[in-house]
Amino acid sequence: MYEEVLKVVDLKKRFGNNEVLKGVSFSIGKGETKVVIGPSGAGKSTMLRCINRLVEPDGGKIYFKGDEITSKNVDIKKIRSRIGFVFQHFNLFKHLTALDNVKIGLKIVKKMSDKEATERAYKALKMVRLEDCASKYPAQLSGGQQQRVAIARALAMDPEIILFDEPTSALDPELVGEVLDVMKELSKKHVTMLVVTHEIGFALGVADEILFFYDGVIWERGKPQEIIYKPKKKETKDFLRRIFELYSRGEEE
Amino acid sequence: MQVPLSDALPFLAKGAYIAIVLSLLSIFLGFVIGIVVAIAETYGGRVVRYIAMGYENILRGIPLIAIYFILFFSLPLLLHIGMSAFLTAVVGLGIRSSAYQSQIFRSSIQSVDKGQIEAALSLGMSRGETILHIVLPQALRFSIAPWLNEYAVVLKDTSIALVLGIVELTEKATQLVQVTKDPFLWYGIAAVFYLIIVLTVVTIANRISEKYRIKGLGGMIRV
Amino acid sequence: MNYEYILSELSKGIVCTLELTALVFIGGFLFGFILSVGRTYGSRFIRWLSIGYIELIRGTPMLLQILIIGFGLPIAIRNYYPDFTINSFWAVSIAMILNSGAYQAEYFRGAFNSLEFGQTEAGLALGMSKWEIVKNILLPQAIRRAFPNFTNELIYILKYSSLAMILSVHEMTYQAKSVGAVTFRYGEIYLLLGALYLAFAFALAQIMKVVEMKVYIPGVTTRVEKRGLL
Repeated sequence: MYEEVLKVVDLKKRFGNNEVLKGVSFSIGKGETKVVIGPSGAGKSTMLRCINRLVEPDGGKIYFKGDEITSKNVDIKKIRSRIGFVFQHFNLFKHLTALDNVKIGLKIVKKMSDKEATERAYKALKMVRLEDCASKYPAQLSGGQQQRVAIARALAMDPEIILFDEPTSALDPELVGEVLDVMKELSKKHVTMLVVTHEIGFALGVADEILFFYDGVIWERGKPQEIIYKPKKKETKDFLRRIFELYSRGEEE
Repeated sequence: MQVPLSDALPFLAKGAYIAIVLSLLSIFLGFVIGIVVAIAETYGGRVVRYIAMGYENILRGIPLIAIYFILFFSLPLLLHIGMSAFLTAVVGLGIRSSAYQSQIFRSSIQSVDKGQIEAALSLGMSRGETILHIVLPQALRFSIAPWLNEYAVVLKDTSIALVLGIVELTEKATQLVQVTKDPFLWYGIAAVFYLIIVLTVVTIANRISEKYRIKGLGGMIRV
Repeated sequence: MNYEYILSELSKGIVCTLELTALVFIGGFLFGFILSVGRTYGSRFIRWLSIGYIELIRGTPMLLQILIIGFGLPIAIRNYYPDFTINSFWAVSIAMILNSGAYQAEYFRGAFNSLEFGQTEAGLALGMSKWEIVKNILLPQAIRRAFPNFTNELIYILKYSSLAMILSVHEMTYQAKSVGAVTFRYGEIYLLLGALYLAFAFALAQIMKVVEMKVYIPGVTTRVEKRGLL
């Protein structure tokens, strides 16, 4: 039964003279995985940050589980604790161990007891297969491990949806796979996910819908097989062609 | 007792003049010694380096007042070397500043791109020529901002010379306060004097330092 | 040569100096933190006030500030309450705390500014309040990043505590002078004084180094590091 988790209506944002979001609209239902692709610097990160209001939108409305979260009276901290966010540069708290990174939100925001928080945190680390690294500091972990801890940190809060902002773009190529594997597992477990990424393979594998973001709006959307192999609009075709050239050039040589 | 501004201002101005003269003499003494110590510590043999390091550490670990007393009392009494109060003030502040300036110059020298030195040597320049023509000119450019900050420190510390009986600005202001029982006016004027000079110097230094960064020096100088 | 006398008088001075140093460092730390929070997160008025205060302190000699509070202020008060006296030790302490706080506020500010915005973003994304973020995420990192500055500040306070002798506070330098006056051996006494300051400066630096190592967290130091581990 379809249950709407997130609805974005006509989202607008400008920085100075630069209109970055010109009216973005889409919605995500419970258990769905939607992937946003598009040219770099177009505003995809800004769009994600508007959803949990790390960036304040200039126009439009956002509904989270039916409630309008763009209105003034909303306790945004409470909302944020129900929306998970995984950053491109991980943003793990550098002075805390992996376990403490996962625990801190639980203790401070969800006000859990230390015992409960530790249990939950371990469970989350197990889900990303890093329970052995619990007492390591971020500086002692590889990029892929750090990002997985960041995913655990978001998961432990038991969010209704997790937003991923290019989670593998800052990783060395050989580390990308371990993070994508974790994300695929989550998707298969019906975690509601909105993922901004260049990883077309991931999108093809688990996305329920792909949104092509271009010129400040969702230019085209559809099922993965349709968008990737039978794109309708010119800009979508151009973008996908450039991506495939990027991936296939290596093979020719 | 009241002292009219027409009398007090020239009185204070003399103190300000002494403070400025003292600060300039000391900073330049510190400059000359500082460069020598910096070069000794960067390019010298082991003995020379240890002496330079010892010099730096001693002069940075002892308060200025103690340096003054050692120069003004221990030197004459134990080694029969006597200096006037003013000379002691200049030398004391100068050698203390030299210890901090040498650190500025050392960091600046080390910030000069190693590739420059390799290029100079490859052309056939001697070590001395490389230092003189390639390293020092660039190092000095890096030093300007921190050096200006050091000047601000020196100017402020000229006030300490009053323990030697030097009647600089702070001492003059104190005398006026004793006589008129109005601390805020006279200390206020003295504060304004220091503020104007220090803020000007530090602002110029900040402008310059935006152009030339020194790695690892940030925060070491307490301005 | 009554060595016992010299020893006991100097010891009194040493204790006084150390007390003054510790008091001022801790007071300056707390005051500096509050000041830096006001300067970074306060309303426009508070920020303006904090910046003005910091520039005022940094732009004038510490000795002048000590004289204003330890000498000038009592004189002003005596214009109304002729019997007013202050304890010079406390007057100097307050003046030096007001001074040190301004500098330590800047160390905090520099350290806070050097932290990546991503740390704050991650805290916000979890739903933390600004204050929770400052207390749990930013402050622990800032202190470690600014550690060398705090060490320098401690040594600086040790040295400038000598200015208290001008207001007849019986710290090390004052005691050395008074011992010199009694024994007439000014020459040796002042050299000894210098050696004592060196010894304590060295000792304090070592202690701070040990503390720095105890609170060390890999990845959270003063050395500029690359973005994450890629």
